[in-house]
Amino acid sequence: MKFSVNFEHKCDTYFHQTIYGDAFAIDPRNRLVLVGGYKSTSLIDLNKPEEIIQTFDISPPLKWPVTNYEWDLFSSNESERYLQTRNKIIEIINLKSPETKLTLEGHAKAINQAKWAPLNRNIIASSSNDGYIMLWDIKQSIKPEIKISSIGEIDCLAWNKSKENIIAASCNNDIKIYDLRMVNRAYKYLKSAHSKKIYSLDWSNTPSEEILLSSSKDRSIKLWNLNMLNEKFMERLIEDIPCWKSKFTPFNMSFGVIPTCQSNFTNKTFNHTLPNSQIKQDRLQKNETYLITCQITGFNEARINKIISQQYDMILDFDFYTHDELLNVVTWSRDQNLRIHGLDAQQFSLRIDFEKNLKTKNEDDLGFQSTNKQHLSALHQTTNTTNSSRKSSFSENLNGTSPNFTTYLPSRALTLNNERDSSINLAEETLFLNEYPRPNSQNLNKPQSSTISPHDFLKKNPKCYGAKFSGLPEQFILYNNEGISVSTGKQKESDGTISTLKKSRNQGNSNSNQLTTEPSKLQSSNSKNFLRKIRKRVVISDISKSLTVSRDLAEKYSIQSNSIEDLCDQNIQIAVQLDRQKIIKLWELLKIITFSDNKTNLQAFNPSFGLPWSCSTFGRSLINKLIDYYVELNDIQTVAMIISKLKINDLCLNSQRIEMKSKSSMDIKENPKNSSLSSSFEENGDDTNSSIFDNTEISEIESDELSNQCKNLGLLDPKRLKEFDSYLKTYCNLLYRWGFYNKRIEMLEFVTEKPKIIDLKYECFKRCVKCANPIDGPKCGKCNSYSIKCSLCELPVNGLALYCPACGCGGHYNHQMEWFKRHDDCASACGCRCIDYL
Amino acid sequence: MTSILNTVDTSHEDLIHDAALDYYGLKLATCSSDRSVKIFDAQKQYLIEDLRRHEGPVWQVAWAHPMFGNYLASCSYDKSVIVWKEMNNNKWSPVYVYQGHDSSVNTVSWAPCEFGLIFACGSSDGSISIVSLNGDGNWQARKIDNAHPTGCTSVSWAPAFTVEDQSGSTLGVKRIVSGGCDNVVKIWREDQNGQWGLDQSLQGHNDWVRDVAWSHNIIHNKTNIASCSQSGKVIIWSCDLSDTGNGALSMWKSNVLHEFNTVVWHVSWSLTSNMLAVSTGDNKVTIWKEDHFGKYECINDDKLGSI
Repeated sequence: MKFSVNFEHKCDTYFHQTIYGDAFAIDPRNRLVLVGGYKSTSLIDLNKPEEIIQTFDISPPLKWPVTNYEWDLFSSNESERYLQTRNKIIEIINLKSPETKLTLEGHAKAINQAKWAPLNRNIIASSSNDGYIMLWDIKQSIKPEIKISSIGEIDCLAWNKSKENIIAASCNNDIKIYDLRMVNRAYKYLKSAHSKKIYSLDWSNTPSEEILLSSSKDRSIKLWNLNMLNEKFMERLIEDIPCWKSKFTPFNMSFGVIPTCQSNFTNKTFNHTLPNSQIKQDRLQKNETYLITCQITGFNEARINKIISQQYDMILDFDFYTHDELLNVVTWSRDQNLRIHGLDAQQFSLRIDFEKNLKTKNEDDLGFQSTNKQHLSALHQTTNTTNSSRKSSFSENLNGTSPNFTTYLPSRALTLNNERDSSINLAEETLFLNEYPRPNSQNLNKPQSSTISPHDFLKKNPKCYGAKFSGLPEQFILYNNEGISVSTGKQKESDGTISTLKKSRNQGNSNSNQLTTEPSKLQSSNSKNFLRKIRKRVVISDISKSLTVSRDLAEKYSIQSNSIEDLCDQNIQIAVQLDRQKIIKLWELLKIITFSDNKTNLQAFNPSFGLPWSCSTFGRSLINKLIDYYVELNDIQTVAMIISKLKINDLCLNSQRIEMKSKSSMDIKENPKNSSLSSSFEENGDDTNSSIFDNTEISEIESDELSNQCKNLGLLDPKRLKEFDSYLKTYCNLLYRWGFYNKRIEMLEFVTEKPKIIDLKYECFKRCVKCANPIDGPKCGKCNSYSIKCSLCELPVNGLALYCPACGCGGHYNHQMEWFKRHDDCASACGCRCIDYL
Repeated sequence: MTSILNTVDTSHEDLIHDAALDYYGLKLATCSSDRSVKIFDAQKQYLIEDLRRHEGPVWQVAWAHPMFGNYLASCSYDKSVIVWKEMNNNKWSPVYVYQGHDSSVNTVSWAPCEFGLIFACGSSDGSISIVSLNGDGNWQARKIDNAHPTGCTSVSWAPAFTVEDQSGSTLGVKRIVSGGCDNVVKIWREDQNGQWGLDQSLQGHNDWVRDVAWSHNIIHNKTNIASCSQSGKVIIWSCDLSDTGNGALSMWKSNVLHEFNTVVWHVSWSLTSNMLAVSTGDNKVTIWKEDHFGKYECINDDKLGSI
């Protein structure tokens, strides 16, 4: 299905001779238009566009015309208000009482733009030629709350429509995006975003993506997707004319643009060179001016839908509103004509369905119409349109039409600052309406904490609740400041505990550079009481039931023993005691495996006895499966135990094999069927083991090659030794934490790659007992005596050793432990009370 | 699922911001806005020490591995990190004060013990410092400037793992992961000259990253990083070590665990790396456990949050 470009549309023109000025603004809710700016402001109702409802005179100095109007979309019908900028000042005017203005002064040079925050009431941002962006909270103060300084003049400003703290500003060719919680630096900086001055900025309405539209004197419009890597522009439309103003429509991803200096622009070929090589050419008649609406259809793709070319003078400004299923574009042009163009709103909103889902098109059509009607009727009915109903009716409308448009509600975006949640409270809203701040009223300077986020947001919103896995594996700690009811974001804060908390914080940290005024003494004493009430606790919980590792098992498991069978039997007993059925079975299985392994492997080098056990289906592959299973379960303990057991087994086999080395080589030499056997073995598939039998000349095999083969015959997969090491080490760390140091040392024996420990405070080195010569190996190079000798059995120690750090005497771990069960002093009778040091 | 072992009433005068148990689970350290760090006996629940040297709220405490002695690091709004050491008879004294930052230090974390006594800290001034104790007893700091230009909120160390090369297997390079106010999770690595540089930049959050946590172990050749943001998104980044040779961690896959509708303050991996605890701004804790298929499931129904 192709999208048809519809050039036909309704256009109504209303001439207003009495209105002079360039400024223009629409209130889309009530369809009120402010226009003018030179000496007076005119208010026009779009339901009766031919009449001027009201005229507001501009206060002196009259040489400062109004350059901008902005409706406060949070104000309700009773107190509808707007702001206007004139040279260095911002004025806020209430329609009901236009004579009492609120004037904001602070900028040193002319203000370029001033905008109401779309998600926060009473907040205004303004940009000026003096190089400052100022944020005003008019409920709090008529002085700026935050000043963001920048080098150079700041031209345009745009509030993010879904994130309350994000604001974009343009400074000549660059775009800077600020996070109001951290204003000392731009959070994103698009340097040389355009090659010439940027004329306008706007954020898209899509909350999930951060898309910024910029138009510039360099004749291009760019769309920036700030969520994308490197913030590269998503879209770039090249035009032959500088782009004066660009705005997103209320619908997804479509926008309007007006080019500038149209009256000077004569008889030029108008090229749209789109990246998807779609080229359109339109001959423009002399003095013909136009407005373009574009729709984004995909990455680097856009479609130009409408070109309004019925005006003969420069369009000064334009804006959109929806009415009667039409997307209306209202333009104000230099020839004092207000024009209303009705575009088919469906074509804007249904764009995504065309692309994505042809089937549901009809349904969507229906959906759109019904919801749109609802929306409109809602608009008609609600004379008291509040902020939330405005937003939701809007999003309702959009939801019916484009399925991938997610709604944005102010409350969702307001989760960041709990304090502000309360300011959106409906009860407060009515309150607010009655006490609209008037100039010189005292309540403006009430000591109250700022509603604008401070510079150091983190400090004001610290972590005060959290849980951690800490300490032992089964320990879980939770720190809690009990008594603060933290809002869940969607809930409204009624009792203001958070604000009390924040006040107390102000008072508690006088060294902080805060914007707020100091709270009174009464408040500070209150806050102290409040803080005292909070129970600041840490809860330590035991989560051992959801752990796969068990401290009891770790304590009881025996790791090293002379006989594997005994070891298995012992561990079965332990598992029985703790009633771990699965582990009992595992140990029984291991016992069977290792038992048969011993039997079969004794003859492993004699192929006439068949395949080595490790090549069998129930050999290595079974072990691998077992280990994988327990790794998946995250049972590091069991994995480590299996590995350590099998390592003992494999080591035993190795030693046995080396003894059998000569025997087996003899056997093979004598065996004439060897070659056929090797081939039959290869058919069985395990190529790691085939090498063993490839060599017919076993007698020529060198000893290291033999040991390689022995490795291959082990039940543990030699390829995975590194992985196994990491499991063993992990388990060793757990043993360390539990304080089972001996078990850890025993377990560490099985790690193939011993961890290198750097930067140790204590250095251990061996010194010969006889000649005090430092030695490396097991024997002293000088006197040829064994370096480590047991003080009890007088035999050299190979394996675990226990030494007294004070006297240096010691020996076999088992012997020494036995000794120290009964004695306190040194076994070598050197007089040292070793038990004190061990 | 859980049973409460102990409840320690810290009697801090202001909010507490962090708590940590030492390696053996015997001592508990807490820190608070009242500028103090307290050390408790976790079992008998009595106060061992009340350490008051900071001049601002203390944000985080971290215990070092006990093989170096009992060290505790605390970072504060007063722009400093203090390393405390247990001297004789339970007396703690500051052995080192690091003042290399221009703004609040938000996070501190000790390196795996295999690398020695090293801590990393991140600050609101946007930089990260890696401070190590040399053999001669002096502390040496290396700084990553502008790591997160708008402020760093959290750092976490990669576990020490070995890499195979020509000379056999050696200890892999040091790596840290950091999160910041630029919405990016960044992985940094140390080169041969001891200089730190950017290794990876993981984009996926659209608001401030409040916490990052690297899992403690490598299970099935996979290593995970969890990160959480102000907007409530929790992402688990996983990297398969077998995909990339020579210990380079380049292929990170992101997996959104959950999107909460409130700020997420903490993520914490269990010691066996299969459970993740997520603490959110609405005073709730959810624990997520990885199942056989690598999917994470919430295993508590917010029951823990009501403790």
